[in-house]
Amino acid sequence: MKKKWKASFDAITKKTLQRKEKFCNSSGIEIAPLYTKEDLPKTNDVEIPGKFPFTRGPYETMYRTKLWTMRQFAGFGSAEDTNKRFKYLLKEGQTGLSTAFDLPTLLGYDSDDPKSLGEVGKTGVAISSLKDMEILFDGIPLKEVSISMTVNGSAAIIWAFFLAMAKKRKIPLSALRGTIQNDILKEYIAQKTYIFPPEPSIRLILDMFEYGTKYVPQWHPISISGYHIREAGSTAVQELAYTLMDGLEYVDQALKRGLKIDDFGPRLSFFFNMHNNFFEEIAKVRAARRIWAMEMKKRGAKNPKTLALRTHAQTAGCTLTAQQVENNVVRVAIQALAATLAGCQSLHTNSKDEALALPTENSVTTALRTQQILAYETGVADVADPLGGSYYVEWLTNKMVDEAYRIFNEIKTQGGVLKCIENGYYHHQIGKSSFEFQKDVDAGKEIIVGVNKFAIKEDIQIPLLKVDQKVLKIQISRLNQVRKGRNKKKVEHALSALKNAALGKENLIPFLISAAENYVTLGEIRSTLVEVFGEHKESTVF
Amino acid sequence: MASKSMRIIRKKNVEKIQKSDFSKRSAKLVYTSKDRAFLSEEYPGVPPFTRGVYPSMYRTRLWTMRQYAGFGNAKETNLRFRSLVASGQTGLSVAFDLPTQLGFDADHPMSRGEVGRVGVSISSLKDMEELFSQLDLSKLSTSMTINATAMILLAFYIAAGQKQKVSQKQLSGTVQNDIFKEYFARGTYIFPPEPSLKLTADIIEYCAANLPRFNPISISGYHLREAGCTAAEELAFTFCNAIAYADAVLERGISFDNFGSQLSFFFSCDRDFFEEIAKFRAARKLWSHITQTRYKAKTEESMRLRFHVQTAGSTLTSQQTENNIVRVTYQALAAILGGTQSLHTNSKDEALGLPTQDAAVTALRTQQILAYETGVADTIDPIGGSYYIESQTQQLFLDAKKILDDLLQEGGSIEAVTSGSIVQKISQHAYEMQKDIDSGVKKIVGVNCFVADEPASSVFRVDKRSEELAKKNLRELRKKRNNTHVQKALNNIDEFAKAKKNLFPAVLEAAKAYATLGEISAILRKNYGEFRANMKF
Repeated sequence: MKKKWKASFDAITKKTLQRKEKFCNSSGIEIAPLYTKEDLPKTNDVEIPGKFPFTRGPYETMYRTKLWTMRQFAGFGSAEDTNKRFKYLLKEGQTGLSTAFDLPTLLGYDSDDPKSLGEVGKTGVAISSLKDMEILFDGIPLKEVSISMTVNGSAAIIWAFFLAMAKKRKIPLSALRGTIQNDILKEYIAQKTYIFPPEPSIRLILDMFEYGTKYVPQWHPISISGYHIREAGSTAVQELAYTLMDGLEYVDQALKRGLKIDDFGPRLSFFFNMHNNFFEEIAKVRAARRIWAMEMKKRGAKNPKTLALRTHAQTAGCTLTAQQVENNVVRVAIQALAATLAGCQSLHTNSKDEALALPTENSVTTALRTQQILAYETGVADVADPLGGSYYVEWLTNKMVDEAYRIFNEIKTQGGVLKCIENGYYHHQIGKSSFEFQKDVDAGKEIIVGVNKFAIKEDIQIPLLKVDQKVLKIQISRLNQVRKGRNKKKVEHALSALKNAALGKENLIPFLISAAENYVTLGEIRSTLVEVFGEHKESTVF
Repeated sequence: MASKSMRIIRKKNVEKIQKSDFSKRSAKLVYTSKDRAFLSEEYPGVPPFTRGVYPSMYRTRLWTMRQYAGFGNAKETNLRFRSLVASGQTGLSVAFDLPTQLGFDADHPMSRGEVGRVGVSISSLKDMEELFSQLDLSKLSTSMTINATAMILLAFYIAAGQKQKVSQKQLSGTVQNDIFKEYFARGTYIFPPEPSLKLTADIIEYCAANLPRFNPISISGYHLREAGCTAAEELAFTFCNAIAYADAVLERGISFDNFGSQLSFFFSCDRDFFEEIAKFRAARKLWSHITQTRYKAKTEESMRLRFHVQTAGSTLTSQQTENNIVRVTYQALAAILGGTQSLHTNSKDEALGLPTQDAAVTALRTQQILAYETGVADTIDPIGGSYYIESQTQQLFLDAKKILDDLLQEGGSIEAVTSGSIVQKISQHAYEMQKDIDSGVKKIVGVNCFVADEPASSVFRVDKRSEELAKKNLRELRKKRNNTHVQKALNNIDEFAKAKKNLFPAVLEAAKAYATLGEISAILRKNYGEFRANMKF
């Protein structure tokens, strides 16, 4: 019967050309017109959700018992502004919070630092001390709502602020749930908000693993992120391979320090991008789970929670267009569906106006409604891994696994992740993919609706959220108050203790918390650590 | 393995686990390779066509993006059509106003207040010429949502084509012409079932001989589903109606293979994503089965179920209308993964009224994004093989077949009009659905959960002057045309009707002479009488 199909397919395509010369996904994998049972080895057919290698999902029951967490990234202006947005989102039915910080905070500068000028509160909330953190989460039930924080270079300090705030509110650290991004390797690769050189950066991360495992056991001390690598222009399989390779780097370093894989392993979490190519994205996440399970097993993991990769997803900001913004609602809806069919544990859906600026309240609501419609109206959450068994999806999953291992080997032959950061490998590879994509867009081979096809004349005019210009004033006056109100001696003592610890090998987290509790500011802590660790400068090999 | 999963579920909150679908088809927690063990090899373009009706599907040609449009007078709708074609739409779809659907001219007293309201007003060939002005009928494919008066409107269309020097052989498109679902759900019937069925068969017969590229019928589950039936019933009721039409044509001694390939279908795409995909796959399989067992079809063309899909209007909400873009997106994707041949995506504001121009463009863009940005059209039947989908497909096939067999046992569609059995089933489900919405078992975002205060949205309004203009045009037409000629043509229809001949040629002649819709319908009303719904329930 296959012959019969093939004969008629060939006859038709001789007369009518196929729509494209070659059908490829972002990873350059060529897609055949049809997939059948013959495209799959028997091994696919025995996989079950919640069981090694977890391709079909980290849990047996998946969304039947608990839906994914709807977690919209938010943050702008002052701590008060963002606190208000948080409360609005919770009222609208969001089930987790996710904090965006401004650039100075990400880079460890206080709002009143001259380097911060013009950036305070712009792309996220400005947090310079424990005081700001207290305001940010004022009135938010931290035992019930899980908190995610997107911060990397200054992650250890911001986390210390957060833990100090919880302690002040008498919330036991063991009750806190959430995630801190804390993935410095992808900062060197793509996002660039690093402070210290790789070695001390990784030390801080491992300190957080260690401290978290002991005292904040429900917290994810890292979210190993492909999102930004993808946004920088990588393909899906590059995102997959680079991210997992980063993850393995952290694991191997932690093992080297003597941490036990089944102690910290269950708290590692991931963060993937949900781009346009629907099935490729689904296959990507399925492949990620299979690879991670195999790699953790190789490293001696026994705990299923160590073996099962759990991930947050965000729809791809880079796919949104400033033209015909309503189209973005469509794109986000499709990407969100892919995330849930891929079995993600939490999801941020972008707002339609994010290609233009920070999202308005209305468009944020629609983005959240997108997830609620998926969850409550479409029935897609009724069955675990509903696409499992699909000849195409299973074939593509296998293919993505193979391709990722090919890239693993490439990185290994170059000397590993850190070496590749140093020699510009990532920069080069991502740049190449991004360039090729742009070339295809320019040539009209890749169609972007409303941009290089179906464009219309329009005034791009939608209500945009403007950040209150008062934020800098508020921050400066609050910082002055903090500095005036605190115990100077205790501040000095906390900083010198921190410095000593940094010079040695002790876990730095308790020192950071104690500094935070004494209202030492972000910038002050940064300077102290830089004295010991130095700053990272990007090598310019090319 | 599954039993352990079940234990986990029991341990957690069992009440929370509820299949959201309304056919209450139970879904298991996990599907594995065992669930598709029954499956024999299936290939697209090869009976039973579960994986698609064509061997190359969207690899060679995307589905037709066909947005239903029509309002006001012919001129206004013509402008909208031209703008849609300019925006990249690949097929036209005409919505007619109620008077047109019920066979009344725009100046008839029954038409007052309804002219141009829910669709375009067409009273004569003159209007039809205007409707397609500057649109090339040899290139476009046109779908017309018209039933009781389908023959008259199709005659206008053919005549309009001839004015453009396009022969009827070249015309491509679809006329809905599905009267049974009018009795069961939609309501725009005129004549009793028997003469209605005769008119339908006349059209099928005429098209089989003269319009090879035209679908003379689009047998529609859409309205039945919108009225409240389940997915399995949508298939069963639709095929039950299809069988009534096919049987009527066969009675005239025409072989199934001579017209079977011209039968086309129209389904809804409702909110349950995977159930809808499975429904389309099951539909192809079931139709292939019916044509081979019941009609002994020999050519594969007449075993192929080709269908149009529209996203489910009933799932849209007047609250938070942006949410409707999301709903439409999912339904459109399901239709594509289900292998549809053409698609109408609803506009976000259709729950409020006729769509505004902007909303109509976004609805079209939804299809374009799916087509060009997501890669879902790159391989045939991409979800084929999925344990869940294959198992649901088979289940729906069996469920629909059972319901259909029972209906046929009870005498099929004509009997169902008299007994009210189908209507009863539909209203029973509609009632249950409403109950579940009221109790919150069935969640509708923005309606019974996540409700928000909001200002009213702006609504598209039809210009009140449309009606006056349509009346004026008719007055002029009646003065200008050759009225002896018209009268002769009308008398001719009367004679054909009395002689029980195929009416199509006579109606076409009258159309060409500029006889109006109302005049032709009046002759038919006189001959066939009007149907009154049996108000038993």
